[in-house]
Amino acid sequence: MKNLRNLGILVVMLIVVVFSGLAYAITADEIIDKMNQAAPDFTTQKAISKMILIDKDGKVEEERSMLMFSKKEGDETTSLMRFLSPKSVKGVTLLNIKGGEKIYLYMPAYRKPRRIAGSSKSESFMGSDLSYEDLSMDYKDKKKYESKLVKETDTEYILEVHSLDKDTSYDKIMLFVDKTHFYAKKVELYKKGELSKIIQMLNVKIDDNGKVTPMEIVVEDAKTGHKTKMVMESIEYNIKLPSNFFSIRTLKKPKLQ
Amino acid sequence: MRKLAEFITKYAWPILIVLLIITVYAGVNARNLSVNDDITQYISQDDPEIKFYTEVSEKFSGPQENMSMIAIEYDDLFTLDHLKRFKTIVDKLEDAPFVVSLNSFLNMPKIVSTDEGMEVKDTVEVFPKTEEEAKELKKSLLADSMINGKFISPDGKVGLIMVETKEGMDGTKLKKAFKDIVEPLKGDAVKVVYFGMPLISAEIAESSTDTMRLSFISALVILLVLYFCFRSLRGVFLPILVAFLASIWVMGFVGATGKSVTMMISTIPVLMISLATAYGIHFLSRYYEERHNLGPIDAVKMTIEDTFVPIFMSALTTMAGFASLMTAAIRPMTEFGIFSTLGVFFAFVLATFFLGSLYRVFPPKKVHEKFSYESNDIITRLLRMLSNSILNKKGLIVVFFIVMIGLSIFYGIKVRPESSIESRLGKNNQIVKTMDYFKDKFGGVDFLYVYVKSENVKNPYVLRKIEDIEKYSEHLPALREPSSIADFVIQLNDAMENKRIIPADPSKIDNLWFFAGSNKYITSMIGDKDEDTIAQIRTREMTSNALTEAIDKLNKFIAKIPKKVKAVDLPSLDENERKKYYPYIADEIIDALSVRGVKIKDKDGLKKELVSLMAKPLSGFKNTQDSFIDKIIAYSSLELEDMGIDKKELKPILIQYIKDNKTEDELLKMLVNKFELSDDDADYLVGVLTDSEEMALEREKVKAAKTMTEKYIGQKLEDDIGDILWYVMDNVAYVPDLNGNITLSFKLTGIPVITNRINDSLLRSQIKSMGIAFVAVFLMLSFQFGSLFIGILTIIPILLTIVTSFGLMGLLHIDLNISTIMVASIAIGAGIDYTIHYVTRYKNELQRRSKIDALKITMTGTGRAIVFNSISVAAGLYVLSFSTIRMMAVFGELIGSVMLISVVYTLLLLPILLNYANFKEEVKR
Repeated sequence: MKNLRNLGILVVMLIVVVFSGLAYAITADEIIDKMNQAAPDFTTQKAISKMILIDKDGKVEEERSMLMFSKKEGDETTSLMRFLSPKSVKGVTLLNIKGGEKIYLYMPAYRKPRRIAGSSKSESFMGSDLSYEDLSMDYKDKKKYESKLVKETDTEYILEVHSLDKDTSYDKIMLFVDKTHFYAKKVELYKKGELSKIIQMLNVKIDDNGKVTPMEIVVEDAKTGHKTKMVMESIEYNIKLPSNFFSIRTLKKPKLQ
Repeated sequence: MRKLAEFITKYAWPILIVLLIITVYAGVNARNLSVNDDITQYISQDDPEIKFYTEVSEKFSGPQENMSMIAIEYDDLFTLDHLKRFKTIVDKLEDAPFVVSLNSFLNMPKIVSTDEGMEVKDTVEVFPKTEEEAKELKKSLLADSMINGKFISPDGKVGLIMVETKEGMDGTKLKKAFKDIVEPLKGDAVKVVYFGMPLISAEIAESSTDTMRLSFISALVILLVLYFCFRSLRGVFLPILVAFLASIWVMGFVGATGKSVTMMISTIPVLMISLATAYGIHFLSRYYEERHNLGPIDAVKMTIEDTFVPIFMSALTTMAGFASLMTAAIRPMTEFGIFSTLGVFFAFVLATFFLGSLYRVFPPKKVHEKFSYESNDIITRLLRMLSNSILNKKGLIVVFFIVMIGLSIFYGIKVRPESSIESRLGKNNQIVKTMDYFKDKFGGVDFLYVYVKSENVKNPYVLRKIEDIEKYSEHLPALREPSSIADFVIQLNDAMENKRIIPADPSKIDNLWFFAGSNKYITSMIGDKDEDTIAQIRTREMTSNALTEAIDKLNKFIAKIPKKVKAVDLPSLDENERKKYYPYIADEIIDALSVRGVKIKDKDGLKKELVSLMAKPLSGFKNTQDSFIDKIIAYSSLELEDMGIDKKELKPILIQYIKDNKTEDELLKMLVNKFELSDDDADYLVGVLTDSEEMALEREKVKAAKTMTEKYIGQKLEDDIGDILWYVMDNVAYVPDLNGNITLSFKLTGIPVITNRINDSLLRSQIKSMGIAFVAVFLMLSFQFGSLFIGILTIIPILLTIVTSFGLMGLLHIDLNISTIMVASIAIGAGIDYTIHYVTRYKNELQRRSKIDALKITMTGTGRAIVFNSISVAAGLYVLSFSTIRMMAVFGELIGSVMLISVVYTLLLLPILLNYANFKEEVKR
């Protein structure tokens, strides 16, 4: 259980993955702007999602469902996440204050919440094919990423993105941006020149205002063929939460809301 | 034979061209030979032990053939500069394109426990910034059983990097690539040592190639020895060329079949040159003899007709010796048997066809070389003297042999099988020296794996048993540094609630796993569906009696562990029912203490005490001491901080609550009054505090159990051993039950286990192949001499030669290994030639002479030839002494010596034995 500072913003980051990119003919900047416009606006959010781990032969190894609340505070996100299933993790709850400033973990078998710290960014996120780094990558941040449009097809803009941070795991990121709705349909992550991971949007929901919510994402480890599927079962934006909701005492509560 | 002679002389040119083409083809194939000697390939891959080992090692530690280790030693690794250097090296290696994955202490999970919580981090994340922090890190890493002795030497000087590289990397290039990265960055490192399968393979390949190259020196030595014997350069050059071509053919054949050259196969060129030169000599000596009276073509024909059968017989017995090795279950032996048999066959074919057609096409000028053994040199004089006195001094000779045999048996029974890499490569080999370094710094390079299978290896019972096995192994001198996921769970549990045990509650383990299970190292230690895992135990030696004994003991210990148990959830039972299970928990405590080396004299007594303590309710351990109240507050600190409650203000309330035995309602009221809390908040706080109180009470109960146990056994328990007493708080009892739903099994594997198996196999193979060689040679002799009795008499010298060679091995402390084990079979095949030559000549002479005269003339005639032949063969084989692989050197020296011993028996014992036989030639006369 590492680098939990990023944990709370799971869904936010998935959206980041979807909408990140830099534009081209229509310039890179314009593509980014349009992707930002297509991203949903919210201050609070409640989501129920499923994480399905699939082995290289297509067999489901594990299915976890989780309930997550998050709140945007300026640039930071505070979140509370509770695992609903399977039984082995049921009730495990994480509170991530201000993007990792403080992280608390409640494990029901141990009765007491504990304060914890995270770990290396290349570690796998909860045994999935996503690393914490994958979740925290924000390609639309021009201070951190530079990009160029390398190809344009009938349906996609293909962007090549490079991190300006030398400490990154990936030396190249390819974004395949949908020309109509401006979200990344596919992201390819390259390590040491070799394709390392492929992230694909299998299903998105587009509302009347053109806002795009990813509903089903699959991440594949190109080397092992192992996959992680994230399925959004429900998502609500701008819900009302009590002022002390994001606190230690909520961790132990049997019912969150 | 005539037809063959006609054929060879008629088609001499085409034969030469065909032979040349074959040689070129073989030469090309031989150049592409790959050299590889992997002990796991020694017995058939279908062997269940090997299969199992391959599966386990690939599953849990990646393919061994791609694993390398780099040890970097400083006078102190834990200075800021050295740590930074180490980290830079690790980073650079990680970035190298040929590196797949890498482990060092820097990315091992590090559990940092704090008052308020804990952190699981890669060690690198707590990378020190000051010299003091570096020293702190050293202290904490050396206290970490997952790191000390595994990734850092116990003296804190050496850091170990385990690197998995891409498949098919050439070892030599890999070492260079490693050096290119490490050397410029290492600073003032005392030493950098590279090790691992790819590097060993490269080193062995290099040594094996060198061994093959020794064939040139061997050829030169034989050339010189034969020149000294025969005084004819031309006469000995061609026979050596024949043997040389035979070895090119056979190595080409090895290449063409796609087999790798093992250490054993690398000796074939030297063996061929030493053993097969004799065939060419036979041919040439006869050719020169015939050339005196016949023209070039007729001389060739006559030579072929005359020598075909003797050369064939000689080759056949030698082939029988080699071929008997094919029956061995040990792969390199079988392959060596096949290829060396072929080599001898090639030498025989070449001696006849190559020399025949060569002399047909390029007839030498008529030479008057006295290419014979007749001479009056010192050896001839010695043999003459021997032949004169041998029958008179029969008694003396027999006594001499009895003493020899007695001594040989005395020393021979001391010979032990040993297939460890040390035994194979020798103490001075670079690989062995490197291994010694790792042994010294990290306790060894090899692992014994305890493979564990269960429905769920994360089950507390399974983990506790793994831990028990580890603890038990720590007390066996040949084993050290055990590690498994159980250690990790214990560390986590310790960080969570300060208890160094595997919790009995499965949901706790699930929770811990959720917390830490995504660490790469940890996930790699557990199989799919959590059904299997391994405990790794370092072995000090690859094989040794101590190790075999340790494996036996471990197996016995494992056998006693109940393999089927049921879990009984204690809180769901009423107190009376629950009590029934306390004895099981008490047993588990006593067993756990025992495997940790605690001596308990009266186990039953202690059990009784523990059971009665377990039955005591928690409330009985309440006290008003400051430390007890402080514990409750400490356990609640996060929540108190969250609610903004001052701990100092809370303390008097808690004291009152406990001292006056107040109810929870009364506590609630006190809290509402003091901190002006809402009912909801106060309710929550009471819940928090009573939870913490219960935890503090549990700690008190365990403390009491520990004190009681210490008093009972009369010794203080170390902290981590004392924590076993936490079992008294177990809420699940694991009870042996044949219908239980928790089943588990253990199986030991690893190179040491395989080596043991190979050792067993070695002995069986030795007996089998020697037996086959004996029977084959005995049948050939009986057939050739037309008498079973003579067959028996003639096999005695070679039998005694073998006994003596074992004595020699015992005397010189030579182990029975993959190479030395073959000496006997080869010696039977090659050494018997002397007997055949001797008896054939003796029989011929008997047609014309008396027994005593026949003996004399055989002794000086054939005897001299045999002596020269054995000297040249031995000299050629002794060249293997220069091999950097000890086992090859010993192999050469042994066969060489055996050939000399064989001559002694043939010349001294055979005449005496033959004196008792009645030959029909004698009767005819």
